[in-house]
Amino acid sequence: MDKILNFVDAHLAEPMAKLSEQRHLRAVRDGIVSTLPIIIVGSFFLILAFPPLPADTFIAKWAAENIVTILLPYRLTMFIMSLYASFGIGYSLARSYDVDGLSGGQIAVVAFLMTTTPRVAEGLGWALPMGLLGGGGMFVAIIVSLAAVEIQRLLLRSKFKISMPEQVPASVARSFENLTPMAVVVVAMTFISFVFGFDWHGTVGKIVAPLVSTSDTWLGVMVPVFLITLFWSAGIHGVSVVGAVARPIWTVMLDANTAAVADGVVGTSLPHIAPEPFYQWFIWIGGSGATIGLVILLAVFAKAKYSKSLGRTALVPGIFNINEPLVFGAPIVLNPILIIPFVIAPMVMGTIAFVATSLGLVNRVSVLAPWTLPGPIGAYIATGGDWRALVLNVILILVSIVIYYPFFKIYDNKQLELENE
Amino acid sequence: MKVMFICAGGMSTAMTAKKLEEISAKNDYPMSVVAYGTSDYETALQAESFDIVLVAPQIRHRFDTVKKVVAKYENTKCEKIPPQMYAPMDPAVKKLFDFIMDVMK
Repeated sequence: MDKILNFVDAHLAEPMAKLSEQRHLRAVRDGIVSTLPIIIVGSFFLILAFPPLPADTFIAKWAAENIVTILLPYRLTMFIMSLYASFGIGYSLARSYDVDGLSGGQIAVVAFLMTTTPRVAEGLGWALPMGLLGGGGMFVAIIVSLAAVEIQRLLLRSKFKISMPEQVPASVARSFENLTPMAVVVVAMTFISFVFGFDWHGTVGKIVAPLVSTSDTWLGVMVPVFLITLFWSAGIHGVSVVGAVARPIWTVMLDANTAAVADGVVGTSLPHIAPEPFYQWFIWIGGSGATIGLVILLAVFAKAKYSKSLGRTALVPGIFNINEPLVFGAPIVLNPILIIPFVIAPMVMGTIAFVATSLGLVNRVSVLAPWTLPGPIGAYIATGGDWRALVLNVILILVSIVIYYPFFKIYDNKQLELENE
Repeated sequence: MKVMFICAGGMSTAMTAKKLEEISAKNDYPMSVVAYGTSDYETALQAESFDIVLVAPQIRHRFDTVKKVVAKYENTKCEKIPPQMYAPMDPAVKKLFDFIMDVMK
């Protein structure tokens, strides 16, 4: 077992984690992560618009009457999140090349906006199709943002750039330097999108559709769950590695669910089961590896001194889904006994939650709640205020306790032996 | 001595950071320890000078990236925190304290 673990660490986890540090993947990851505050704040307006209260209460009536206005902040934040992601991706990629981040973000946004065609709407003047700027346009945003910054970087390194004498202030010089890249990107996009009429969103949407639908199956949940716990077993931040690849898809699914809620679809018939909040509130309770069960057992039932003090130290952070004290303190990392439940518990819990959600026993997730909320509260908020999700979360915590129990016993007895020696 | 910890979000290291401040004070070598996430440590480095930057084990695959950034600051060292020293508890943090003292010698 030790040999297998060391092999996984040296030949699988480390190299794969290094791969996730690839420049473009990193830019996409950091770009999308930078939009989280926008998504979190934006999605909260959905709870306000659809308060989890009986329809005849005063607040529910008020919300129903003012729903269009209440949802406006959502429309201008999460609803068009790919626009913000585009800036973040361009910024991050440019920074990684030591190119000015602001111009990188701007050139990415210009390229992304030029994948859409504004039209004159009656009584409005020129209008953008906002739907394309949301989760549905995420992959188009990724592709054109990366491409635009690559063009910018190549031109800045080439002899075509317009250089200013040294006396010119840096900010002025920078805007002149970026004239050529901006011109090339705008002209190229004009030809591709408007002269040749290339349908960016339709084409990319067709390519991405199978990716999204596969991620929304039971196996599509189990694979990332297994990989994430495998990475953590080697002591590497699994979500940050796997998320680099999977987060765009999770984000697209969440956005589709949120948009459906805003359109009045009921919580149990939203389009997707497994956007990221599904993992957060029904699987990673207490942190990756669903360690809430272990930390409760350690804090309450441990006999050995070390287990007890570890449990007390790790309990409060664990309630808020931070489990590094436990992962490195027990340790779970490269520990053949604790790795078993660490991998199995999340898969069992994920299966239960997947079945419960697909049977319509709980609402599907539509709100991005901060991941440091205690599990039951987070589950309640993420499902737009569904008390059944809260109950499911508590049941899953009990499942975690049951699965961890035998391994906790072995671990605690071993610590006790060590202490009595 | 001024120490910076970096982890994914700066949250789990915050606990170890606090514990290290305690232990270092007890050992008559008080350190000021702050925790940052991978997204905001660069700004912090620009604003203040640090003696050493330590990268948490769970993001050790980003060590090379961080090291390149820290290399711009001449008087700042950059190291990985060994996994067995990364838990906000007594034996682990004392080892971490000794490790830092050893590196800074």
